[in-house]
Amino acid sequence: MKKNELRIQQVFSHLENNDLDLGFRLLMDCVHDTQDFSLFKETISLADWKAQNPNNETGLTQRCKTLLEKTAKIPIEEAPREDFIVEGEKLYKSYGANRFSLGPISVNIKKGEVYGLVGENGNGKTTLLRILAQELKLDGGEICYNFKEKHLSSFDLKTKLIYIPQRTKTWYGSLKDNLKFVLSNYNIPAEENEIRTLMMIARFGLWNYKHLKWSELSSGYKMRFELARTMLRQPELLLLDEPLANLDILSQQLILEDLKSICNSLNHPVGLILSSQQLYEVEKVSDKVIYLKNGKYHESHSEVKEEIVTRPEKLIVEIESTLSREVLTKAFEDLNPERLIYNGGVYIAFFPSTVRYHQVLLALGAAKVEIVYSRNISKSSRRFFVS
Amino acid sequence: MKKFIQKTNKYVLENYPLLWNIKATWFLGSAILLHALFFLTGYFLMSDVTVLHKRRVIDIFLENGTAFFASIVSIIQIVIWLIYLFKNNAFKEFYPTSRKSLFFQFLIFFCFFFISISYYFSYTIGIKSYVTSHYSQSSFLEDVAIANRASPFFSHSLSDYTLDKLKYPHPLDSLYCETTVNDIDLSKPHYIFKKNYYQFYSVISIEIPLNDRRSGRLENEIHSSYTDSSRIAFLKDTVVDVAAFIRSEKPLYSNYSGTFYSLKYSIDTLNMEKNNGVFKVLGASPYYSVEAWKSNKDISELMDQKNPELIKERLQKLLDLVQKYEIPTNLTTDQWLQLVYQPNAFEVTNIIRRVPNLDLPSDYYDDDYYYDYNYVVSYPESAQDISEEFTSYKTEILTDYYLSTRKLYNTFENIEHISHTNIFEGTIHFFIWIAFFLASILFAFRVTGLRPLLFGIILSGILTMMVGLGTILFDFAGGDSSLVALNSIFFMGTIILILPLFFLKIIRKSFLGIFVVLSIVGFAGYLLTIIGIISTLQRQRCVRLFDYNYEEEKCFILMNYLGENTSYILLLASLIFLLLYTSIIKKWRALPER
Repeated sequence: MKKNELRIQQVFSHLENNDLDLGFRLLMDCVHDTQDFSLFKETISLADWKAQNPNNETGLTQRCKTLLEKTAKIPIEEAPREDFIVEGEKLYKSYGANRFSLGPISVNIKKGEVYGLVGENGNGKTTLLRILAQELKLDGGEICYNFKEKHLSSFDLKTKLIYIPQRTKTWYGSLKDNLKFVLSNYNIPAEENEIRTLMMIARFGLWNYKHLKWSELSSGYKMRFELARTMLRQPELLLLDEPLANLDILSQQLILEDLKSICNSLNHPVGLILSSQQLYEVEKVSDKVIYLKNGKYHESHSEVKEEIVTRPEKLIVEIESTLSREVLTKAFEDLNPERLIYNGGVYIAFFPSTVRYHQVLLALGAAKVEIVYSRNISKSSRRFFVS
Repeated sequence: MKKFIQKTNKYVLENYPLLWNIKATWFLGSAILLHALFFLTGYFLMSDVTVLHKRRVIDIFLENGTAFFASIVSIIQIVIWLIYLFKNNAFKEFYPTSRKSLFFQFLIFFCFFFISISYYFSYTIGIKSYVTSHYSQSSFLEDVAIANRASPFFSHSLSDYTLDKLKYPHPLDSLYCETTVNDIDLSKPHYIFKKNYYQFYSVISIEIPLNDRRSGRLENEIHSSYTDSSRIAFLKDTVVDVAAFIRSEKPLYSNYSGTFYSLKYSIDTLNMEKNNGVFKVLGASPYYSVEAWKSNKDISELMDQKNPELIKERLQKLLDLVQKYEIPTNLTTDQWLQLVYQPNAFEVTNIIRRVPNLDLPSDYYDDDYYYDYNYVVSYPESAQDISEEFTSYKTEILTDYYLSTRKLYNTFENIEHISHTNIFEGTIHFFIWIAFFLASILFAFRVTGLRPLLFGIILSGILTMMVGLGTILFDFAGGDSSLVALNSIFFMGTIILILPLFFLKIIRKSFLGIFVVLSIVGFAGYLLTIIGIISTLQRQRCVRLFDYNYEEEKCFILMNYLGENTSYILLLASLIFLLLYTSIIKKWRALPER
């Protein structure tokens, strides 16, 4: 089964299971990939209908399914994603003698993949992003960009490198006009401008917010508008610095899911690299997580998961509890924990590779201790944050 | 209306993002409205004919507060526009921007600034339109002729009617009348009125080459004029007895040879036929003109006819004119005729005031009153020694009648000046360069940022101080400080221009930004410096070649040769430079920091 068919099926399944919000968003991604303007218009009408009939779930499901059927009939040419869009070799940046330096780091990014950049503050996340965005001069190493269209000048290259800093600038005037302004600058024909803009507004769930002023938006919606504006530029590489800062947990998840889905477009995949402090959320959507510490990096990705299977490593469990160390030590005494670190309300327990996570849970259950949550972080970059 | 605005906004946004970004439609719309408003204000201002009574009404924009109002309007308009402009910057956001579009942006800035600060033109065009449409050339010439024909009877100044004004018939037109008491040869024919002396001399001329050391005033010299290679000195020669032509030693209307209003732009005046004799060579002097001769002939012949009706007709026509132009007077035709006409005698026995006889305190001062009171229509009284008797006689015959001929004169001058003046000449350069300077500052800010602009201003201030100090020091040492200053500016300008051109990838971006700003804003000045250096060197060479006979006209000096075109050439060159420089701007913008 082709990727597109799989995706259509997935959307259908979401609609069937009444996951309407998710289903509708993914449906819009499917429609977007068709680049069919009649379907765009139908999607926009549907978004409008949805906004006017927020409680009519049956009607929405029915309309979504009809649109999905039409979308499924349009063939989509899948874009190749094997080649790296950015190849950075031994990147090195120094802010001066005895000051912070980054690297050498080698970074290769493919289209359609999401790269999470994590690490404590002051360890080089923003520096790396700005180097990739050509905002900072390299002191060593080399970066090669392989975009669909070759860039003719350094300015031309910069138009293709979309970097969104942590603090975005204020928008002035109508939000919709701001979005349309981008398309006009990218020479999108006038007749497509409005449709593409509304499509993006709908896709990022901004339909009911498009008439508001920038100052009336919450941080989450500001970020969503910023992302909508960014995606209208049809980037091949997207560099986001802390896009989840100041967002509530729900907004974080929503934005990450949207980004993952949009970047995973079939005919216009985008290479995304984002920095964040939200480890677990980022790990959930990332194909690769880059952990930076003192300007050097550790990588964890799907290949690591396999390595763990074949080459057993320690089991590391994070436990949040108000219990004393003695109580926990007693609960785990049969599992022979190697270390138990208390990190201000959170315990990190290190067990031998022979211990499995369910055994830890069993031990906690048997001891009838009160815990807030526990998590296996053996494969998570969270383990790098343990001092 | 709201729908129309939205529709227009949508169209411009979708098709011309740059124009939308700078709110060009609304800016232009408001600018056109404001220009129309200024035009109408200027136009209807002229519907009050008394406005023309003051001097240089063409400059009224600067004098009646309109300039201040226009400045406020310009500032508000520019500020509002900038607020909208600063909302978006596609170039800084790295949206695709071609060099052409960047240059176009500058051109728009330039045009907008020019439009915003040039309300002077629409206001003055309004004034000009009213004047040209309400005072046709033919009716104006007729009015001037009426005023000139009646002017002998204005009777403002007794000196206008004394013997020295007599120019008709020949040979009086070729003689010089001496009025300085100490220069009168009492042994030869002379004439006295109230202890004022008059003696007529023949005139000879001597041509002195310009390189002749005898550059001082010669004995008996009364006037001099210049040709390309020589100075012609006119000397009074021998006393001539003109008793046969003199009716009386008293001031007579038939002595009048003044011209109330001489056309300044008339082709007739330019091609004025020169009279015979000494007038031909003395044509350049205001004291010897064919107009004086004609004027004197005209009034002499009129008086000789002894026909009061002819005089009355002249006075009547003048008073009609006075009514048309709302000139203050308390004269009626009959009263006036009574004042000026005595059968068988042409003597001036009544003086008519130029302003009403107001009982003003001695320390009273008013500009108009002062000028009106002291204004001399045709001859400066200082040319003559005035005796006390003469002065007291003037007071004796002074009446309370008044006719504000000064206002009539101003009206004529204004009509002629406004009709013939090209209001763009000269002033256009002022507005062009103000607009260009503001546009280049704004453009530099838009493409680089606030920091490079501020540092650019600081650096240019430091460099100016350095050049100033260097020049002062050099001046103390006795050198040619102007050339030193120009050379220093040229040297620094060259470095500023070269750095972004050739060291783009070597020097730090933030540092280079300052030079990019200075290049954008200062290129026109740099070119002007080059022209200045060339011209100064050419001038120095010319001085060396011709020594004390040095005249700039003898040598080719670039700045003189280019003249007013220098401004247009600099503008064109600056625009071409900016078009080419957009490439550097884009490269600089794309540079990474540090």
